[in-house]
Amino acid sequence: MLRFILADLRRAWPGALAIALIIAFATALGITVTLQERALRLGSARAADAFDLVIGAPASETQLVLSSVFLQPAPLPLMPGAVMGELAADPRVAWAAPIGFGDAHEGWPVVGTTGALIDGLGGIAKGQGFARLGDAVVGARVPMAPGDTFHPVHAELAAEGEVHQGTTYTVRGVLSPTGSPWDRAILVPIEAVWQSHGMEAGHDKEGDARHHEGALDADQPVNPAAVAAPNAPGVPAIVVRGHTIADAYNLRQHYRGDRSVAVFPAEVLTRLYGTLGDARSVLSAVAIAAQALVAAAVLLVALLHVTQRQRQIGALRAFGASRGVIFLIVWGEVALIAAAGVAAGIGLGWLAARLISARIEAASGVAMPVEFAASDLGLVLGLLAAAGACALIPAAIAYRQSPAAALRG
Amino acid sequence: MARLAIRNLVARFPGLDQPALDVPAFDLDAGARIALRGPSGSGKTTFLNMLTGLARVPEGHVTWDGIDLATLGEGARDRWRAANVGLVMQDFHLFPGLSALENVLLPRRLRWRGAEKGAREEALGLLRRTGVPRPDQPVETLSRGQSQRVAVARALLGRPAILVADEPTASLDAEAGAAVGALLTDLARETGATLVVATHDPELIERIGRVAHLTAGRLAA
Amino acid sequence: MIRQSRRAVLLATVCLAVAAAARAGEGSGTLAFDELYGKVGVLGLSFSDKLRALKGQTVRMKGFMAPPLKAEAKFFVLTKRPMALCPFCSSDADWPADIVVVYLDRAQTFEQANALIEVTGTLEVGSWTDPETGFVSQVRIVGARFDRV
Ligand SMILES: Nc1ncnc2c1ncn2[C@@H]1O[C@H](COP(=O)(O)OP(=O)(O)O)[C@@H](O)[C@H]1O
Ligand SMILES: [Mg+2]
Repeated sequence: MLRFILADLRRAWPGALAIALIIAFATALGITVTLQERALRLGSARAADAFDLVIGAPASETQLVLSSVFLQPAPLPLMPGAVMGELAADPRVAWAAPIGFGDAHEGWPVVGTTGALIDGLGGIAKGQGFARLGDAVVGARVPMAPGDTFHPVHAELAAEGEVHQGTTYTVRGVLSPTGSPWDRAILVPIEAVWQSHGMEAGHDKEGDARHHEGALDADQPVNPAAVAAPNAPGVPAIVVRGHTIADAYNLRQHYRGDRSVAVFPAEVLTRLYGTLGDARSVLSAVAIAAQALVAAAVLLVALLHVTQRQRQIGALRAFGASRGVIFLIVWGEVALIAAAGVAAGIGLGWLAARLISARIEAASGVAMPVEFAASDLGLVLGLLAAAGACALIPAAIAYRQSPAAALRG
Repeated sequence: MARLAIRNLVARFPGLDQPALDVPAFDLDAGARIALRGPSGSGKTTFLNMLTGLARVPEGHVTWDGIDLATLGEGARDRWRAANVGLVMQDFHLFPGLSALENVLLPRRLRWRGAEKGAREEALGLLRRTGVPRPDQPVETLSRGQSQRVAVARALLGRPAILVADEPTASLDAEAGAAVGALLTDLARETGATLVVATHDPELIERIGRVAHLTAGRLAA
Repeated sequence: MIRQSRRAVLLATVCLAVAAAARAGEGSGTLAFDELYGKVGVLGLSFSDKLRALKGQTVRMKGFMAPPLKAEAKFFVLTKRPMALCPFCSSDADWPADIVVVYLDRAQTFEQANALIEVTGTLEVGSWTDPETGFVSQVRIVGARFDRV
């Protein structure tokens, strides 16, 4: 029986292959949409995992999250320096770390912060953290090792090649991989950023850094108290972790006001996922429409093929073949081609999502988990069931002609 | 051995005033051989369809060894035919892409229980007996005479008790026709099968020996 | 053909039966935020009789999904009012009267923050500390699924 199917497929292999490929592409389309959307969602959610609450000056919440969690460069307004001091004293706060952006080194963002964030991001994998202002810790994807030195560039001026000549950092440690854009970041003490931009405590909070370029005293020890000082310079964002979940909600509420805005990156992402979900729905509808079209085309081809062979099939019955076996054979042949197409499509869709994700990962640092979920099984089973059901039609047609009619010719 | 008894068989087709077939009584002993002769459209094929269960018996009785085909449903007739009847048609109805041997075996293989043990050896023996030189030759490369020999081998596989042929030599040249006709009659004699052949071929009729005339659906011995 | 269509009917019947079984839980208790607690006594909140009666049973509850703290999480906070407000800020009590914590079978991301949803799951009552997050909750719906309404 199987040999007959195989003999038949061998005879008509170019057609069978073409049909299987078409089915594979239609399946892959749907699979890629599903996997890629999931990868974007889970990747961004996991990248934001270390950031429970972000506090910034009142402005776009979305921009605040994009800049702090995803290190997307954008000018953010500064918050009064006192906010940090207040947070440091708040009993609900487990840890809070300021972050200051603006500099870069060969395209890797240089971010000023404190040791709290290093621990919050998962700690040091190799080397050690900040001890002096000239120390730096690099993300897992930054191609530098402890002992390397560099001069950062002011990001907005990088094109003009303005280097903080007086500023030299020495890499002391490498962060554990986080699967987030922070893997591409270089972390330095925020005091060092203030010093090299001439933003010492107490004066010129929002001044134009270029005109106040200061020299960095690389050997000065890091002083955690300086960050929490009431007259500390302003920062664009502070990352906060509450002791409990209720604390996190309370802090979010407390720091939403005239002076600052507090937001869970998760809530911004959740809003984004709503939009992403809508996009996925549209793309899925397109994919399903494509699949339906392909199913129709395949059905047509199968019907033509079977109609052509109806006489042969009727004759086989006349000569003693069993009707049920013939039905099974025609069904099996069509279903086999369709199942092969669906299986190939799953692989193809996975591969496409992997390739797309690898590109996004390389560009953003956000790890993209391309993974199947239990719900995909339903999708695949649905496709297979649809294919199996469609294959019934040619099988039933093959059945239709009576053996007498088939022999009459 | 198969013995035939037909009673009050009437078959009509829509649009025809006269019945296409009207056979009040017709009997054949087991192992008998008979040629069915009649002009085109006289009802030969219709008659054979009734004999072999290819078509439903609309009225009357067609009884082979006590089994009345009129009482069998479509599936039961298919099973009965598969077990008892070997068929040879004017067109060979061979499956391209398969070898001569595979074609002989195909109807048997396409059953739930598959082909019997030894079917392959039997098929090879039949192909040798019918003079098909290369059993693994693809059928689309066979001559017409060879194709009909393969069809005869297929009909004889499993030693059916009933052998029915519908104008088996009509599409062959005289020489090939003579060879196929000889095979059919010889093999029917060898296996003791009851042989019914619809044909115009005088040589084949002579070879079979006994003839019944069919005119406008009515039989005359 | 007839045998085939009979088989199709049989299949459809099985499908219906399964669907009916899946929905069997839906006849069970509907719970509203106002019904969670009894009188506010000297000792603070006390669980209502209805809440206690439904403990361990499948319940349905309508409410708003509070903005989640984690984008991918196994739980979320269901609140009575949409959350421009803070679910934990309304009172000084450790546990506000108008929230329920919803636990799902698996971690997932959400799209329905601040939207009105209906949650179905098994009601759990009493103080419980989530070993993963340290989150202490009093009223929970576990093994839950939810839909926008
Ligand atoms: N399926 C059918 N529908 C209508 N008429 C038919 C059908 N089959 C055969 N006939 C008619 O029945 C008569 C006998 O046909 P047939 O048995 O094929 O004759 P023969 O085989 O002797 O040439 C013819 O008139 C033919 O047209
Ligand atoms: Mg005829």
